[in-house]
Amino acid sequence: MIPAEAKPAMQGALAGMLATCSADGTPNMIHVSQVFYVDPTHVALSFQFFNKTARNVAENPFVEIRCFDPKTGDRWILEARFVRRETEGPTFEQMDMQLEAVASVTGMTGVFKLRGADIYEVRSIQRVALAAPAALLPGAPS
Amino acid sequence: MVAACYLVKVRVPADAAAFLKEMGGFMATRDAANRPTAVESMMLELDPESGVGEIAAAVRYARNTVDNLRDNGRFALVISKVWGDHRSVQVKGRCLDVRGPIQDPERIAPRTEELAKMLTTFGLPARVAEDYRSIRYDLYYLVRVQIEEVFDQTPGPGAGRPVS
Repeated sequence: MIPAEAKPAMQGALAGMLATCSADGTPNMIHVSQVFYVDPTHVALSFQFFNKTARNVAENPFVEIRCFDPKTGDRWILEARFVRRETEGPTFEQMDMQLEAVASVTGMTGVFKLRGADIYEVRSIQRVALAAPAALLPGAPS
Repeated sequence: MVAACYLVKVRVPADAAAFLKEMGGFMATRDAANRPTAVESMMLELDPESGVGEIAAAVRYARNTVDNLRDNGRFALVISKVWGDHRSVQVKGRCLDVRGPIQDPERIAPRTEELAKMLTTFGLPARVAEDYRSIRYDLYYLVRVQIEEVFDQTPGPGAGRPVS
Protein backbone atom coordinates (compact mmCIF):
# COMPACT_ATOMS: atom_id res chain seq x y z
CA MET A 1 0.00 0.00 0.00
CA ILE A 2 1.46 3.35 -1.04
CA PRO A 3 1.16 5.80 1.90
CA ALA A 4 -0.28 9.25 1.31
CA GLU A 5 3.01 10.93 2.26
CA ALA A 6 4.71 9.21 -0.68
CA LYS A 7 2.45 10.82 -3.27
CA PRO A 8 4.46 14.07 -3.70
CA ALA A 9 7.34 11.89 -4.95
CA MET A 10 5.02 10.34 -7.54
CA GLN A 11 3.79 13.43 -9.35
CA GLY A 12 6.56 13.62 -11.91
CA ALA A 13 8.28 16.69 -10.45
CA LEU A 14 11.66 14.94 -10.23
CA ALA A 15 13.09 12.16 -12.37
CA GLY A 16 13.13 8.76 -10.71
CA MET A 17 15.50 5.81 -10.95
CA LEU A 18 14.73 2.32 -12.20
CA ALA A 19 16.90 -0.75 -11.60
CA THR A 20 16.16 -3.80 -13.74
CA CYS A 21 17.95 -7.06 -14.46
CA SER A 22 18.09 -9.17 -17.60
CA ALA A 23 17.43 -12.90 -17.60
CA ASP A 24 21.18 -13.52 -17.85
CA GLY A 25 21.77 -11.57 -14.63
CA THR A 26 23.07 -8.25 -15.95
CA PRO A 27 21.74 -5.30 -13.93
CA ASN A 28 20.68 -2.07 -15.65
CA MET A 29 20.10 1.37 -14.14
CA ILE A 30 18.31 4.30 -15.77
CA HIS A 31 16.64 7.59 -15.00
CA VAL A 32 12.94 7.71 -15.76
CA SER A 33 11.31 11.04 -16.48
CA GLN A 34 8.16 10.26 -14.54
CA VAL A 35 7.06 8.15 -11.61
CA PHE A 36 3.29 8.55 -11.52
CA TYR A 37 0.84 7.50 -8.79
CA VAL A 38 -1.93 5.31 -10.25
CA ASP A 39 -3.71 3.80 -7.24
CA PRO A 40 -2.78 2.55 -3.74
CA THR A 41 -0.88 -0.45 -5.14
CA HIS A 42 0.33 0.71 -8.57
CA VAL A 43 2.62 3.32 -10.12
CA ALA A 44 3.29 4.11 -13.77
CA LEU A 45 6.69 4.89 -15.27
CA SER A 46 7.19 6.70 -18.55
CA PHE A 47 8.34 4.47 -21.39
CA GLN A 48 10.04 6.68 -23.97
CA PHE A 49 12.66 4.75 -25.89
CA PHE A 50 12.87 1.20 -27.17
CA ASN A 51 15.73 0.12 -25.01
CA LYS A 52 17.40 -2.37 -22.75
CA THR A 53 15.00 -1.65 -19.92
CA ALA A 54 11.99 -2.68 -22.00
CA ARG A 55 13.69 -5.95 -22.88
CA ASN A 56 14.67 -6.56 -19.26
CA VAL A 57 11.19 -6.13 -17.80
CA ALA A 58 9.80 -8.41 -20.52
CA GLU A 59 12.28 -11.10 -19.42
CA ASN A 60 12.25 -10.38 -15.69
CA PRO A 61 9.42 -8.22 -14.31
CA PHE A 62 10.96 -7.56 -10.88
CA VAL A 63 12.42 -4.06 -10.49
CA GLU A 64 13.39 -1.47 -7.91
CA ILE A 65 12.16 2.10 -8.30
CA ARG A 66 13.54 5.11 -6.41
CA CYS A 67 11.67 8.39 -6.43
CA PHE A 68 12.27 11.65 -4.62
CA ASP A 69 10.15 14.06 -2.64
CA PRO A 70 10.69 17.50 -4.23
CA LYS A 71 10.20 19.34 -0.94
CA THR A 72 12.51 17.25 1.26
CA GLY A 73 14.70 15.18 -1.05
CA ASP A 74 13.65 12.06 0.86
CA ARG A 75 13.91 8.83 -1.09
CA TRP A 76 11.10 6.34 -1.56
CA ILE A 77 12.32 2.86 -2.46
CA LEU A 78 9.75 0.64 -4.17
CA GLU A 79 10.07 -3.04 -4.93
CA ALA A 80 7.74 -3.58 -7.84
CA ARG A 81 6.67 -5.93 -10.61
CA PHE A 82 5.95 -4.93 -14.20
CA VAL A 83 2.31 -5.60 -15.05
CA ARG A 84 1.50 -4.06 -18.45
CA ARG A 85 2.07 -1.19 -20.85
CA GLU A 86 -0.75 1.25 -21.57
CA THR A 87 -0.69 3.36 -24.75
CA GLU A 88 -4.01 5.09 -24.24
CA GLY A 89 -6.44 5.91 -21.46
CA PRO A 90 -6.44 8.40 -18.59
CA THR A 91 -3.08 7.45 -17.05
CA PHE A 92 -1.32 7.63 -20.42
CA GLU A 93 -3.00 10.94 -21.30
CA GLN A 94 -2.05 12.58 -17.99
CA MET A 95 1.54 11.38 -18.23
CA ASP A 96 1.80 12.47 -21.86
CA MET A 97 0.62 15.98 -21.01
CA GLN A 98 2.99 16.20 -18.05
CA LEU A 99 5.94 14.87 -20.05
CA GLU A 100 5.42 17.52 -22.70
CA ALA A 101 5.58 20.15 -19.96
CA VAL A 102 8.75 18.59 -18.50
CA ALA A 103 10.32 18.45 -21.99
CA SER A 104 9.52 22.09 -22.57
CA VAL A 105 11.03 23.20 -19.26
CA THR A 106 14.18 21.08 -19.67
CA GLY A 107 14.82 21.80 -23.35
CA MET A 108 13.99 18.27 -24.44
CA THR A 109 11.02 18.99 -26.69
CA GLY A 110 11.14 16.58 -29.60
CA VAL A 111 13.32 14.15 -27.62
CA PHE A 112 10.98 13.23 -24.78
CA LYS A 113 7.99 11.44 -26.28
CA LEU A 114 5.77 9.10 -24.30
CA ARG A 115 5.41 5.75 -26.03
CA GLY A 116 3.73 4.02 -23.14
CA ALA A 117 2.76 4.18 -19.48
CA ASP A 118 4.36 1.14 -17.87
CA ILE A 119 2.25 -0.03 -14.94
CA TYR A 120 4.02 -1.63 -11.97
CA GLU A 121 2.51 -3.35 -8.96
CA VAL A 122 4.19 -2.05 -5.79
CA ARG A 123 5.18 -4.97 -3.54
CA SER A 124 6.91 -2.95 -0.82
CA ILE A 125 7.75 0.67 -0.15
CA GLN A 126 10.28 2.23 2.22
CA ARG A 127 11.22 5.83 3.01
CA VAL A 128 14.83 6.91 3.57
CA ALA A 129 15.34 10.50 4.68
CA LEU A 130 17.85 12.66 2.82
CA ALA A 131 18.80 14.45 6.01
CA ALA A 132 20.82 11.94 8.04
CA PRO A 133 20.43 11.79 11.83
CA ALA A 134 23.46 13.56 13.38
CA ALA A 135 24.41 10.35 15.18
CA LEU A 136 25.09 8.77 11.81
CA LEU A 137 27.47 11.51 10.73
CA PRO A 138 30.47 11.59 13.08
CA GLY A 139 32.71 14.51 12.16
CA ALA A 140 30.02 16.51 10.44
CA PRO A 141 29.68 20.17 11.44
CA SER A 142 26.60 20.61 13.64
CA MET B 1 35.78 -12.32 -3.98
CA VAL B 2 34.02 -13.51 -7.15
CA ALA B 3 37.37 -15.13 -7.89
CA ALA B 4 36.05 -17.72 -10.29
CA CYS B 5 34.56 -15.31 -12.78
CA TYR B 6 36.23 -14.37 -16.05
CA LEU B 7 37.06 -10.67 -16.16
CA VAL B 8 36.80 -8.75 -19.41
CA LYS B 9 38.86 -5.57 -19.47
CA VAL B 10 37.76 -2.56 -21.45
CA ARG B 11 39.33 0.78 -22.21
CA VAL B 12 37.06 3.62 -21.11
CA PRO B 13 37.07 6.66 -23.44
CA ALA B 14 38.83 9.52 -21.67
CA ASP B 15 35.89 11.93 -21.84
CA ALA B 16 33.53 9.28 -20.46
CA ALA B 17 35.98 8.49 -17.65
CA ALA B 18 36.17 12.16 -16.69
CA PHE B 19 32.40 12.51 -16.81
CA LEU B 20 31.87 9.45 -14.62
CA LYS B 21 33.95 11.04 -11.84
CA GLU B 22 32.12 14.37 -11.89
CA MET B 23 29.10 13.70 -9.72
CA GLY B 24 26.97 11.22 -7.85
CA GLY B 25 24.76 8.60 -9.49
CA PHE B 26 23.26 5.20 -8.84
CA MET B 27 24.61 1.67 -8.88
CA ALA B 28 22.42 -1.39 -9.50
CA THR B 29 23.28 -4.88 -8.30
CA ARG B 30 21.19 -8.04 -8.24
CA ASP B 31 20.71 -11.04 -6.01
CA ALA B 32 20.86 -14.74 -6.87
CA ALA B 33 17.24 -14.62 -8.06
CA ASN B 34 17.99 -11.67 -10.40
CA ARG B 35 16.11 -9.18 -8.19
CA PRO B 36 17.80 -5.80 -8.70
CA THR B 37 18.45 -3.11 -6.11
CA ALA B 38 20.00 0.34 -6.40
CA VAL B 39 22.17 2.50 -4.17
CA GLU B 40 23.35 6.10 -4.30
CA SER B 41 26.95 5.86 -5.49
CA MET B 42 29.80 7.76 -7.07
CA MET B 43 32.91 6.89 -9.03
CA LEU B 44 35.91 8.02 -7.00
CA GLU B 45 38.73 6.65 -9.14
CA LEU B 46 38.88 5.25 -12.65
CA ASP B 47 41.85 4.20 -14.77
CA PRO B 48 40.64 4.58 -18.38
CA GLU B 49 43.28 2.21 -19.77
CA SER B 50 42.55 -0.79 -17.55
CA GLY B 51 38.89 -0.01 -16.77
CA VAL B 52 39.54 -0.57 -13.07
CA GLY B 53 37.67 1.86 -10.83
CA GLU B 54 36.61 2.53 -7.26
CA ILE B 55 32.97 3.26 -6.47
CA ALA B 56 31.69 4.66 -3.18
CA ALA B 57 28.22 3.31 -2.29
CA ALA B 58 26.26 5.08 0.45
CA VAL B 59 25.59 2.70 3.34
CA ARG B 60 22.42 4.53 4.41
CA TYR B 61 20.74 3.97 1.05
CA ALA B 62 22.06 0.46 0.47
CA ARG B 63 19.86 -2.55 1.04
CA ASN B 64 21.49 -5.83 0.03
CA THR B 65 24.14 -4.27 -2.23
CA VAL B 66 27.14 -5.84 -0.50
CA ASP B 67 25.52 -9.28 -0.26
CA ASN B 68 24.76 -9.06 -3.99
CA LEU B 69 28.30 -8.03 -4.89
CA ARG B 70 29.69 -10.88 -2.82
CA ASP B 71 27.22 -13.32 -4.39
CA ASN B 72 27.77 -12.58 -8.06
CA GLY B 73 29.73 -9.32 -8.46
CA ARG B 74 27.56 -7.89 -11.26
CA PHE B 75 26.90 -4.16 -11.23
CA ALA B 76 25.76 -1.25 -13.40
CA LEU B 77 26.53 2.38 -12.53
CA VAL B 78 24.84 5.34 -14.19
CA ILE B 79 25.88 8.98 -13.93
CA SER B 80 23.48 11.53 -15.44
CA LYS B 81 23.22 15.30 -15.66
CA VAL B 82 19.45 15.14 -15.38
CA TRP B 83 19.33 18.81 -14.40
CA GLY B 84 21.92 19.91 -16.92
CA ASP B 85 22.54 18.84 -20.48
CA HIS B 86 21.02 15.37 -19.82
CA ARG B 87 24.27 13.61 -20.70
CA SER B 88 24.19 10.11 -19.23
CA VAL B 89 26.81 7.36 -19.17
CA GLN B 90 26.35 3.82 -17.85
CA VAL B 91 29.11 1.34 -17.11
CA LYS B 92 28.69 -2.35 -16.36
CA GLY B 93 31.09 -4.92 -15.05
CA ARG B 94 32.13 -6.96 -12.06
CA CYS B 95 33.15 -6.30 -8.49
CA LEU B 96 36.75 -7.08 -7.55
CA ASP B 97 36.44 -6.39 -3.82
CA VAL B 98 34.47 -4.44 -1.22
CA ARG B 99 35.91 -2.51 1.74
CA GLY B 100 34.41 -0.40 4.49
CA PRO B 101 32.19 1.11 5.58
CA ILE B 102 34.33 4.22 5.97
CA GLN B 103 33.97 8.00 5.95
CA ASP B 104 35.80 9.81 3.15
CA PRO B 105 34.36 13.33 3.00
CA GLU B 106 37.33 14.80 1.12
CA ARG B 107 36.84 12.52 -1.87
CA ILE B 108 33.03 12.45 -1.66
CA ALA B 109 32.48 16.22 -1.37
CA PRO B 110 33.36 17.28 -4.94
CA ARG B 111 30.73 14.90 -6.31
CA THR B 112 27.99 15.92 -3.88
CA GLU B 113 28.77 19.60 -4.46
CA GLU B 114 28.27 19.28 -8.21
CA LEU B 115 24.75 17.90 -7.79
CA ALA B 116 23.90 20.21 -4.87
CA LYS B 117 24.58 23.21 -7.12
CA MET B 118 22.26 21.78 -9.77
CA LEU B 119 19.48 21.20 -7.24
CA THR B 120 19.38 24.88 -6.31
CA THR B 121 19.29 26.04 -9.93
CA PHE B 122 16.38 23.68 -10.56
CA GLY B 123 14.28 25.44 -7.93
CA LEU B 124 14.33 22.90 -5.13
CA PRO B 125 14.33 24.27 -1.58
CA ALA B 126 17.80 25.37 -0.41
CA ARG B 127 17.42 22.94 2.51
CA VAL B 128 17.42 19.99 0.09
CA ALA B 129 20.75 21.06 -1.39
CA GLU B 130 22.23 21.53 2.09
CA ASP B 131 21.01 18.12 3.21
CA TYR B 132 22.47 16.62 0.05
CA ARG B 133 25.83 18.27 0.76
CA SER B 134 25.79 16.67 4.22
CA ILE B 135 25.89 13.16 2.81
CA ARG B 136 29.62 13.61 2.23
CA TYR B 137 29.92 12.70 5.92
CA ASP B 138 27.95 9.48 5.48
CA LEU B 139 29.51 6.05 5.67
CA TYR B 140 30.38 4.44 2.34
CA TYR B 141 31.36 1.04 1.06
CA LEU B 142 34.34 1.23 -1.28
CA VAL B 143 33.80 -1.10 -4.22
CA ARG B 144 36.70 -1.83 -6.55
CA VAL B 145 35.38 -2.79 -9.97
CA GLN B 146 36.44 -3.98 -13.39
CA ILE B 147 34.45 -2.18 -16.07
CA GLU B 148 33.52 -4.39 -19.00
CA GLU B 149 31.08 -2.23 -20.96
CA VAL B 150 30.44 1.51 -21.40
CA PHE B 151 27.20 2.95 -22.84
CA ASP B 152 26.07 6.42 -23.85
CA GLN B 153 22.66 6.66 -22.23
CA THR B 154 21.83 10.27 -23.09
CA PRO B 155 18.07 10.46 -23.80
CA GLY B 156 17.19 10.05 -27.47
CA PRO B 157 16.97 7.38 -30.12
CA GLY B 158 20.66 6.47 -29.62
CA ALA B 159 20.32 5.83 -25.89
CA GLY B 160 22.14 2.64 -24.99
CA ARG B 161 24.81 2.93 -27.70
CA PRO B 162 28.05 1.16 -26.66
CA VAL B 163 31.02 3.55 -26.55
CA SER B 164 33.78 1.22 -25.39
